[in-house]
Amino acid sequence: MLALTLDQVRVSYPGLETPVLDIRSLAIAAEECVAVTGPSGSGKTTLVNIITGLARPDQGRVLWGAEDIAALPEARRDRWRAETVGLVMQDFHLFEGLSALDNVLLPARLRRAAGRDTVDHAHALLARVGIKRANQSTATLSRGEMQRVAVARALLRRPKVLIADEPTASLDPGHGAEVAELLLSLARESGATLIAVSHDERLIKRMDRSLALSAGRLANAAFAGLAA
Amino acid sequence: MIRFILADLKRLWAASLVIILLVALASALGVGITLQERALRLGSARAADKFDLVIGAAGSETQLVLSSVFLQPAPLPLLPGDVLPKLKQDPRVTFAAPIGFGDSFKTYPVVGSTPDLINALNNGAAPEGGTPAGEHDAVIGSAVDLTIGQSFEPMHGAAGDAGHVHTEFTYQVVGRLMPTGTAWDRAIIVPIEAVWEIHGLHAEEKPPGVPAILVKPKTIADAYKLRGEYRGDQTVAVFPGEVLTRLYATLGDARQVMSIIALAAQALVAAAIALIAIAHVAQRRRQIGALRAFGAPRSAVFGIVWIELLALMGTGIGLGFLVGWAAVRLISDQLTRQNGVVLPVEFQGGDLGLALLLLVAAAAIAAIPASLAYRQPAVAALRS
Ligand SMILES: Nc1ncnc2c1ncn2[C@@H]1O[C@H](COP(=O)(O)OP(=O)(O)OP(=O)(O)O)[C@@H](O)[C@H]1O
Ligand SMILES: [Mg+2]
Repeated sequence: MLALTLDQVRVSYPGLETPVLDIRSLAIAAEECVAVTGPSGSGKTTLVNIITGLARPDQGRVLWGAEDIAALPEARRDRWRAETVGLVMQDFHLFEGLSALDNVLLPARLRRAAGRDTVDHAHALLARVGIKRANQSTATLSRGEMQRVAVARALLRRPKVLIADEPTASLDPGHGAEVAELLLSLARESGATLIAVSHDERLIKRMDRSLALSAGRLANAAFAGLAA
Repeated sequence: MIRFILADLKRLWAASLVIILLVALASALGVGITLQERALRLGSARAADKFDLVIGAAGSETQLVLSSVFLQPAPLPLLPGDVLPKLKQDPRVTFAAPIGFGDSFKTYPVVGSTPDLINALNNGAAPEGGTPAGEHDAVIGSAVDLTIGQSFEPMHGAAGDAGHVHTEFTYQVVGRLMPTGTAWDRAIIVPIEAVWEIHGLHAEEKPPGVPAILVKPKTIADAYKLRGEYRGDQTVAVFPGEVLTRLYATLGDARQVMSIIALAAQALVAAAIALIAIAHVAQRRRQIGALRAFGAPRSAVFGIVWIELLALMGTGIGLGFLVGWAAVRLISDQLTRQNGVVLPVEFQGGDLGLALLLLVAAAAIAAIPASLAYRQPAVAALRS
């Protein structure tokens, strides 16, 4: 699977004195499950954007395995992300008017990468996340169910990396715990590296370790979970 | 992709409908102008088909054509009485038939003429029911609401005028002509002698004048010679087809103005749609970013926006052609009911070019918001 190495990564915006993200070095092992915490505005989403290739740092290398995605042109980064990363966001970004199944398959279909086995996999994933009716319209799902569909979508192409930005923040505690549990167990089952931005103590506690961001810098890289 | 586009359009059905209607109206306007002008041109050319050469007293050539070909009521000056006999004797003439206006029945003009005209209008066939023999025998056009055998009293004056009824004279319908698609379908043709008699003119003494004479020359050369000869102080001779062509030139100018107006309307609609679409794409920054974040390629994002908009505008254009055609059909049918001239509303090969041009323009317009979506950064998905 894939390990992440950040090297001298810096993101700044014009008009801001200090960079919003400034990470000298960070290494996350393959199949590790890491939580990212930090106050609002500390650069967590910026970090997600950089490590998923949605944005490029002003400087530095973002190595997934041996590949520096910061050096890839946009179309290549898009393709790399489609094949490598499963994303779960705070907002579910499901498309109303499409069924749960169609939502799970949409990104793959738009890439013409939804063959028979992909469709079968989508059904299996929906069953795994507890959605019983694959053809149910997304508009009628509960919020917890919506996020579970989003988790299934993230896993469809068997990504080596699973990244979540506040996956439980817009759910009530019960549903939040379900989704956290799903993310963790699915990452462990598939051997994906999991990086999750979260404030959810119950999720953070169950990760291998947690990183704290503060004003764009990594604070004391506290080890939790196994290391504790 | 298609499923996503359909779901998207269904969700945005109200805005989609507005775009379709806007495009439909704008293209219907352009199509309608083209079709209507063509219908008028073809219809009146057809109407003038059997009228090779028309001779009348000196005056307006246009009015002579409108009165004889389209039976438009107007007081025409009378030709000197000796013109008709002279033309009938002329070796260059197949036939010369008088056209005598002045009376009407209900909304139908009663026209005095001779069997030659009936023959010409009916393509040489005998009228259904029979050929007129006596002075009281009338032959009706196909659109006249009378039956063979019925009698009627003509009224002095044009159809609809408050003239007096010639109670002293009764016609009987003996025959009916086949449809010609011209104003003559609404005409009642009676012997010219009857018209003279009703109006107190007597052919025995000195031939009375008539307002117009339809002349069928033997050859084209004869037609030109005759026209030259009868163009003078006393008479005018016209080829109705030529007069109509002149009229179309004026009509063509009007069409040009209308077309420019239609084009301006289309440009405005195009600009409005481009703006709506750009605003819409801006509004969907997050959704588009999410598609990209989840792995959709940029080309798919372009494709979705482009196809959605093109589908809407294409539907609008198709609908516009339909609406334009239907509107012109309606107007033309109304005109036919009023004056009998059948206006053929039809598409021609060149119209395909217009449709294609509109589609290409639509594709170009759709490409603007689509390329904006294409260039939108993917990070938008994660920002709230
Ligand atoms: N496009 C931008 N231009 C200028 N500043 C930006 C831009 N995007 C982000 N920032 C700034 O960068 C900083 C980090 O933002 P980021 O979204 O990464 O924070 P975050 O830790 O995810 O916060 P939250 O917990 O509220 O989601 C913030 O101060 C934000 O205002
Ligand atoms: Mg954030």
